[in-house]
Amino acid sequence: MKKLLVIIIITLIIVVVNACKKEGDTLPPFNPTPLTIKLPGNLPVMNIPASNPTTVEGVALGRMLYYDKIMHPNGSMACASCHLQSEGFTKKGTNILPHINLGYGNKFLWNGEIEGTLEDAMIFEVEDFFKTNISKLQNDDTYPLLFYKAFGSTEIDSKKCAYALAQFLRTLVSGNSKFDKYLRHELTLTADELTGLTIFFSERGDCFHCHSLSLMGDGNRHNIGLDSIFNGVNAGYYNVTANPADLGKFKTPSLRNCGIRTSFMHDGRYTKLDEVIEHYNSKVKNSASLDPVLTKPGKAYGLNLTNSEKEKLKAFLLTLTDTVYLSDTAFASPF
Amino acid sequence: MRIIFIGCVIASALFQVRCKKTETASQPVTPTQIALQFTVENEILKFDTLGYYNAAGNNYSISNLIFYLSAFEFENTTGQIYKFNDVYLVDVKNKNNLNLSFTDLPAGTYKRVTFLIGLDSLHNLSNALPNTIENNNMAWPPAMGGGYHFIKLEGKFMDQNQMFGMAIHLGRNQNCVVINITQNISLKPEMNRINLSMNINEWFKNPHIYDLNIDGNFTMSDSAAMAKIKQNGSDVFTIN
Repeated sequence: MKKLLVIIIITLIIVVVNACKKEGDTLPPFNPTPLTIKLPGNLPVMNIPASNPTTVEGVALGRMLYYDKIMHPNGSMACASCHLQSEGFTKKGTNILPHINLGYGNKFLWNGEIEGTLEDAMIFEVEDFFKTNISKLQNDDTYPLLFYKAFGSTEIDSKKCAYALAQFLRTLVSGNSKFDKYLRHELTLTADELTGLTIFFSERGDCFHCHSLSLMGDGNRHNIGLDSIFNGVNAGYYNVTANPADLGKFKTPSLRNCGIRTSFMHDGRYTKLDEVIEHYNSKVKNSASLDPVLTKPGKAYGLNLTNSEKEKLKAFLLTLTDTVYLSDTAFASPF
Repeated sequence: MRIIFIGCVIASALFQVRCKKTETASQPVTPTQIALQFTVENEILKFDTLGYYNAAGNNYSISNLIFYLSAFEFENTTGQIYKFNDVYLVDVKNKNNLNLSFTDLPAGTYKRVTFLIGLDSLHNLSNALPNTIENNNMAWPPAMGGGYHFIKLEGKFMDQNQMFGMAIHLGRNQNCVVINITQNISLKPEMNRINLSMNINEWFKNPHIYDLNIDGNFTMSDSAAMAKIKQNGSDVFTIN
């Protein structure tokens, strides 16, 4: 009996030791490489949660997940299916919000219904939007090791997927448009662009109160007078809070790369930049929740810009196109 | 066995002494807190709620209130002045902004607190403040003089059954509001909190009855309107 007990104990020790050996022998040391995100000089500081520091391995993993259809349960789509780099990480003809400078955000989706960090937004994307089948990643030949390198464990869960995606998205920084370079004194703007800039950043156009430097968006929600009667999705943040003060409120989108877009507003009701300018010029609709800034005396509810002013404002808006961002190979598919 | 028991008792006693000592040594010095409160007269401010009346009789609501506080000075009863260079951006909708913390302000009795709603001329230059989203959202465009909005007080008001917007914005050095409160404030180590309360209605009275219909519901490019609001602002805060 005693002999049998000794044999069992020895067997158990051998099993445990071997199991440990196997883990240690297969995996390299966990030693992720810290990565500092390069921010062009005129962009604000980016707050990165201490719980998800940016690393080379985390960004690389996030990039793969962003482009891999494995994220969808039936393998039909990836993030990049709707967020095409060449189109500014959106898709022409759709109202899909561009992925641009998301690392600065604390409100996500059109009506800003997800508040918190980019990690929170990505958890929503993985768990609720994609409904990713984690076991597919876990059983993949490649991913467990990549997750280990990024997070120190081969065990994959939705949180780690979200954190990797957040790390990659933080690197999608746009700060090299003609206007950025003008701000950094690297070039000058044309006379028309400068006039447009003055309209934009003065009471004449009064765009700056919401589209503030340098992100060209304040990250807050506003009702910009698209509707006076609010049905369905047009009710905006009201659909989250049920507070009448939030009727028609949507998050200010960044104007970066607006010159290459073919769909504007949360429902894509405008297809040309000229139509957007005309909205502010003459089509703002009054309602109780309309942003106060849009109701100034003398130009309630419109700017009354001349055709020449509208053209110059558009000329300035076109300086926000960042061609570097549209073609940076670090953001492209790794496959 | 007895030796082990005695040993355990001694070890336990030593452990307790050591722990107690550590607790005393690590007790932090609590910074003085200024807790901000917002009212319309005696009512706690509720956003997006029409039904507030100013001295001119305008029925108004507030949807947004963001401002800078800076250049705090505390003078104690012996005449010693404690100055603080911190700049606080207060977005009233953000609860994390409503407590200002001051380290190195010793306990004692203070007879004066002075500060700015806005920024001094050294800070009120474009890009002078840290390049954060929050500061960028307060930028006063260079084409209009540069620097920052000192305050954005926005909402709606009713006039003859019609609703209008209201955007009381202050900027430019000459419109910086100086707050000077002279009253005895006792700060004790166990009670070092000051309640600083803004009555929104004070922006619209004393010395000027500010009528949104007459004096303007948008101030940003209206120097006369900003001057009145700036002067009215000097008594918007009280300590209670």
